[in-house]
Amino acid sequence: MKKILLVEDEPDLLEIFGYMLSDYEVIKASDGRDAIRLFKEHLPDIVLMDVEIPGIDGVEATRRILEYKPDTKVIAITAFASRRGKEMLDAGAVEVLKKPFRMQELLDTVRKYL
Amino acid sequence: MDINKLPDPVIIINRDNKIVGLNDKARELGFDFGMDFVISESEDEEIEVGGEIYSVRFSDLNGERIVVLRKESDFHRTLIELFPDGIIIHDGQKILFANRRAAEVAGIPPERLIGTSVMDFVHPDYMEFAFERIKKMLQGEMVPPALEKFVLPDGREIYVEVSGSHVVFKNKSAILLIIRDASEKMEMERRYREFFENTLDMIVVTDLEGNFIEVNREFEMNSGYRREELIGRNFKEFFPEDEAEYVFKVYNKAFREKSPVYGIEFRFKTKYGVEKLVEGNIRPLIENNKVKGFIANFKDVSERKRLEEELLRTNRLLKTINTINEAIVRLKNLDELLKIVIREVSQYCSFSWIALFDEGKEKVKIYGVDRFDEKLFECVGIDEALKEKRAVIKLSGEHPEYCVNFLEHKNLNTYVFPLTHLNRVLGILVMYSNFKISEEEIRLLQTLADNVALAIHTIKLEGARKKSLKQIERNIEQFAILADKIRNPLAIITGYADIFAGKEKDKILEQVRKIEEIIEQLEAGWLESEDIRRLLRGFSYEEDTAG
Repeated sequence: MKKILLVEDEPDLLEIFGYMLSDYEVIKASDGRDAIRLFKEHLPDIVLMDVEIPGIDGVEATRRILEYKPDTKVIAITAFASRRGKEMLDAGAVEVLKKPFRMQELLDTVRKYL
Repeated sequence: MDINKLPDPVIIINRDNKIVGLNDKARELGFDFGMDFVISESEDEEIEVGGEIYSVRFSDLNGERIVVLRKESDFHRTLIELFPDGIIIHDGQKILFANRRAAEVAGIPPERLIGTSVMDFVHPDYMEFAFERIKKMLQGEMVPPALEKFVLPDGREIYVEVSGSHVVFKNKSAILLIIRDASEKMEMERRYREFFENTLDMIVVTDLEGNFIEVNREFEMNSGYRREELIGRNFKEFFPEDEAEYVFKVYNKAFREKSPVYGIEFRFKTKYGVEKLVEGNIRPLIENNKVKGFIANFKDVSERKRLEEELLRTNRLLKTINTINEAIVRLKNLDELLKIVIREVSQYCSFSWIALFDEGKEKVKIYGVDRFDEKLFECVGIDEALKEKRAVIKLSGEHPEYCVNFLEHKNLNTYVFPLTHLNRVLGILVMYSNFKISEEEIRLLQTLADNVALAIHTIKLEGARKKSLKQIERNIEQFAILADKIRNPLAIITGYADIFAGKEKDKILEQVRKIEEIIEQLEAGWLESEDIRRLLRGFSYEEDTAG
């Protein structure tokens, strides 16, 4: 089963997105530091990374993950794509999903990179 | 009497003027018994015998007359004729004798002088004086030489120095006058007096003790004293004590060295108590190698000195202003800037302070004094300067006793400059000085006050700008977080609708879309704010690096 690291500080979203991705093995992190640790621990196939997260933010966490494993597909999920979306792409994210998005949209995007 | 024993030729004549006796010396001259010897007594003073001039002296003896001839000495005659002064002998009325020089002074030949009245030459103003002198001389009294004014036959008026004495001339009482033309001397004296009175230098003549003997008009004008108030008084009375000691030393030097002392500078007090600074020279007056007194000439250099000091002060002020202007350009911190302003201005005057006001004209901060004291603002001139928004000057004499700083400031001049910008009083600069600041300096200080006011305004404005920028940044940040926070619940709603909602799903998602549209409109505004923030940050950066 493909592994997805889901990084989101909002518990309800973490739960909803987890539910949407129930066909995959979802590893959940709610801050940047945890995300990096869990990434190194599980080496997921895809990372869904929120940008505004406590501690190390999504941009910095993406940078560190890609430093560790450059071929990792990081998909940014952000409520403020126009403000931070470009930062995420610059950090190495392959795509930006703007909140709120539909379940199908999420699944299509994930499938695109698996 | 054996007339042969007499050294001069002697002739004895009878009532018919026949020679009845003579000695060998008379015989040698060609006289002999029985010859006539006729001479008018009025003109008998001299006779010529064999080309020689003899004076004649008569004396009576038993009805006969003894005539003694005495050869005139060439030496005395030449001496009298060559004597540089005029010699006149008169009997109190008519001139009996006049030498060549006397005739020259009178401007007429000597023979015309003889027989004329001596009083014809005396100027009417001197008539009484001359008459009194003649009277005294005829009585045998000594009279000192005196200056008299003569009127000459050609109408000219001259001054003559006249010495006179009673003499016996041709057996009669007469007056011998020695006359010296004093016109040249008088002219020189007149010129000297004219110079003395009209020179722009003050001239003072003192005796050895330093008592005034003579002062000129310029000194009268400068000292405020009339000549009569000065003559006889000692110079020390007109100097401050320490200055009198210095002047005495200078006089003493001139006395000891018997030579002038040049370029001395000292202060003296006028009648009205004003101290004047003068510069000049002191010369000893020497007679027979002894110092008899002193003549001092000096100029009032108070004004020149004042201008020199003012120029130095203006230069110092310009440097002060320059330093402050550099600080205004360089510094962004108001505290730092105003401390420099006070430091520099206080070096120029005695001391100064600045108070800053807020919008409500409350005093918010004071620089230059140790503690904030409300009473400081009761100081003279401050209210007036703040009310009228212009510089106010109060000289030391105008300092009122009720002022809290009276004891400290009473001898100082106070200069109050409101710090105004765009007609708003931002603060006040108060300066105290022990000198009178010139109009030019006040103009410069006013410019300085305006510059400081502009700097205060600019720094305050910059502070407000930075505060505004920070607030804008905070607002933008808050907005971004807010937008993010709204989208998260929307994402949750969308997620739940997708997963759990049945027939209501589309309606829910439609409302989510509408909310999303509103957020996007807000987001567009936010992007503009973001651009403005970047712009403001850019300016701020430029200014910071430029500074």
